[in-house]
Amino acid sequence: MVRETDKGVNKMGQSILSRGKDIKEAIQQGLDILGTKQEQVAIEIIQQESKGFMRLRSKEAVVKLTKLEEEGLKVIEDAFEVSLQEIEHSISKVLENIEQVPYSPEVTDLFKREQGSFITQDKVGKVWIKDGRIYCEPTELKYPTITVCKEIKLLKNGELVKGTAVATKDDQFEIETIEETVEPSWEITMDAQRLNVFLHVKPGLRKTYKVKDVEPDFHINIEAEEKIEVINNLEYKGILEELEELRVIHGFNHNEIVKAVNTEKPGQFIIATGIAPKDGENGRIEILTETKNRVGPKERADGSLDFREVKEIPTVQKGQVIALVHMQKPGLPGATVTNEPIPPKPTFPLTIHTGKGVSLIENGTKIVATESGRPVIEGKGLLTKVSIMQKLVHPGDINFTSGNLRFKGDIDVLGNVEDGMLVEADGQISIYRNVFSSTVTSRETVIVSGNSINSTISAGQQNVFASELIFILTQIQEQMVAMNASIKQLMNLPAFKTTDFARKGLLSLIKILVEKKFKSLIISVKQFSELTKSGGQLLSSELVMLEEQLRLCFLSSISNEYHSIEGLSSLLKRIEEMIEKHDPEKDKDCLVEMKYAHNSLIFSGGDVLINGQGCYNSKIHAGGNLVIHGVLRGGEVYARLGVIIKEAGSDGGVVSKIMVPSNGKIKIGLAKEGTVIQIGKAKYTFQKEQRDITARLDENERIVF
Amino acid sequence: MFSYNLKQDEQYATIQFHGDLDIEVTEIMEYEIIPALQSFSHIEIDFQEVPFVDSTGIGLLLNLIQTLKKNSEAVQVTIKNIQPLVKEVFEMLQLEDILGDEVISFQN
Repeated sequence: MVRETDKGVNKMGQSILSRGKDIKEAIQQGLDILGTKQEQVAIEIIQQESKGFMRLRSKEAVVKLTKLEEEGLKVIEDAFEVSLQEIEHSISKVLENIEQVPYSPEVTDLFKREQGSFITQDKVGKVWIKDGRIYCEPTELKYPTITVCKEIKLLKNGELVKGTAVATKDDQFEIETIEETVEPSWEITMDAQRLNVFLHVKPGLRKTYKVKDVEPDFHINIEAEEKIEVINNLEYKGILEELEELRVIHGFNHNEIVKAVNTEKPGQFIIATGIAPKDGENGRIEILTETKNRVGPKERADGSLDFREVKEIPTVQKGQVIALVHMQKPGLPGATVTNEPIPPKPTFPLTIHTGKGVSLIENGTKIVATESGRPVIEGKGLLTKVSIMQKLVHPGDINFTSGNLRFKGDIDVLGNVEDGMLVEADGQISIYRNVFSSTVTSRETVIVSGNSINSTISAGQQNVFASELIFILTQIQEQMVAMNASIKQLMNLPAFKTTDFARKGLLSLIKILVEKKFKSLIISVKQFSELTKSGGQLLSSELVMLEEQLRLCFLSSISNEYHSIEGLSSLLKRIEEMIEKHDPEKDKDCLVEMKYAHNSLIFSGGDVLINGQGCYNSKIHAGGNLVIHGVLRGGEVYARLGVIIKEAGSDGGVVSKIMVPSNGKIKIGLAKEGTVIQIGKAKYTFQKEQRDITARLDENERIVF
Repeated sequence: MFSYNLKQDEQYATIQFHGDLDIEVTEIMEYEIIPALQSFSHIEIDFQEVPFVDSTGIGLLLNLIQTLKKNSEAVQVTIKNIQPLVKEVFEMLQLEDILGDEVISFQN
């Protein structure tokens, strides 16, 4: 260790520390280094050599030699004298020990192995580290060097060393290690329902470095050993106190708390859990009979298909139980961690509206048919309507002899419907043979076992025109909502006077607004008006009335009742009601089915299925899917959900047009030249025959196959 | 009460409006202003003194400009010095789009 403890001595002259097996050797070594004689130095004994047992714990002797200058000579002499006495004492001790220990090769080996660094000669010009301190033994010609790593601060004479330092006798080295500490933290939170209490733990860290010992060498690198200590100051008691403060008294998870206390990694622990409420069940209906028509050929026992049994209509007899009504089941309440009850979601009973031909028995738990017919069950939310649709069976043809047929229930016609006749029913219409130049209208489903020639077939609550009108109405509604908002905003502007409203109403304002800002509103209203005119008698009086009101409001040049804030809002309300009433989803179960259509107009709120030869020069509008198992030759077809056709187009060049909305898909097995498909607003005409096509729109509104 | 002040210089006319442009102006507009401006090719309407408008007044203004332009496409009409609060109303009604930005411009 080169360590200058007394600055005063330093002034006096060069001073060194020297080591040796014993004091004598240490002094001689020091005198050699200084290149001087014993009389010219002051000697201070820093450490006596000691032998220890078997020399295992022996210590080397250390002396401090200070070269004497003229003026300091006298002061040092005292110390010198003392030192000499010590030296003599030490020498005698050494001699004693040598006598006591018998010399043997074994001991020498041991000594060499264990105390290798003990031999002073090995350390000359070298530096080493032991127990976190730097020792060095420089010579005049060779000064050892030290390189520091970044985790350690090496101070040479109080100055920070960067990189490599040269060690001389007079240098005073100090090693400082860096220490990093991250404080631990924890937090307790609860979820909104007070069902779970979370403990978020982030244990702290203490990172310390310890200097590694280095064997003597001419150059050494100081290296540090990283030591990470995890600090988790969580205490079980502390957590319980915090929980008490939060009034948590229920559902402790002791295991989790213990885990949190002992964790060394950050984490979240659910330390208390309440009891979640168990939701009950609303009332419901269990239907015991098949109410939907099974469409398609019936499978025979041997697996082949019986095309004569294309449809199966469910019927019930008088006294038969149609359905069971299950009462609501209440749920079980739960409890929060603060032991407050959590009520389960309320449950509600099912409300049954019994229509014609049914009655509720046994405290309203069973629904029984009082008439024979087809059970009709319609449900919306917790309201269910049950009724029996009666059936009228007409044994022969419908013609001038039988007259037109209108019935509230289902109609079965076992023969043909002949020229110019009308069949109308609230329920399902089944015609076992053909329809010629007639009109068949059902609010539900029309099934023609044969063909439809020059006829109009319609199934659903609405018709082609109505569904188109409703589409325009949704656009009008959107625009009107925006316009009403604009009017209200305008009336709040300070420079805007409303004095003319009393005399002329909103007419002037509406005129200006539709001039530019709401131009598309006028276009939509005009479209609506034109379509209503062409729809004529097929439309409900409500739609016709609405058309008049819209016209008066937006197209009139004379002030009227609709030109006021109230007038506009009530008109908007009527539009909304109308849209709601004509929700296309209501008609999705409707169906029109036939073998072959020629020159016919077919409308269905739901699907259309042509399962025979195909469809020639007909117009079809389907609210659901359109499936043609045969050929589509000429005409125009539209389906809201999608179209599947086996073969489309003709060699003769008659145009066949297939349309779906922008989200629809068209599948064609074989499309002949001249077939036109339209998806949304994008159109495509086939220039040559193409097979197995599936067309839809991509995100750029272009048709892709 | 509404009044106006017409300055003319051969084909150029500047008309200054004073007062609210509202339903009360209907008759003055139809019987006085429109006939008075018919013969000019360049017309400037000064809105400096117009603090309030109502929808009928704006209707009259639109009618005035459309009538003047109906006779000849070459007729140039501009509206200037619009009060900021009145401008807010005009912007809301998108008058710039109806009349064209050569007549009325909110940019400056």
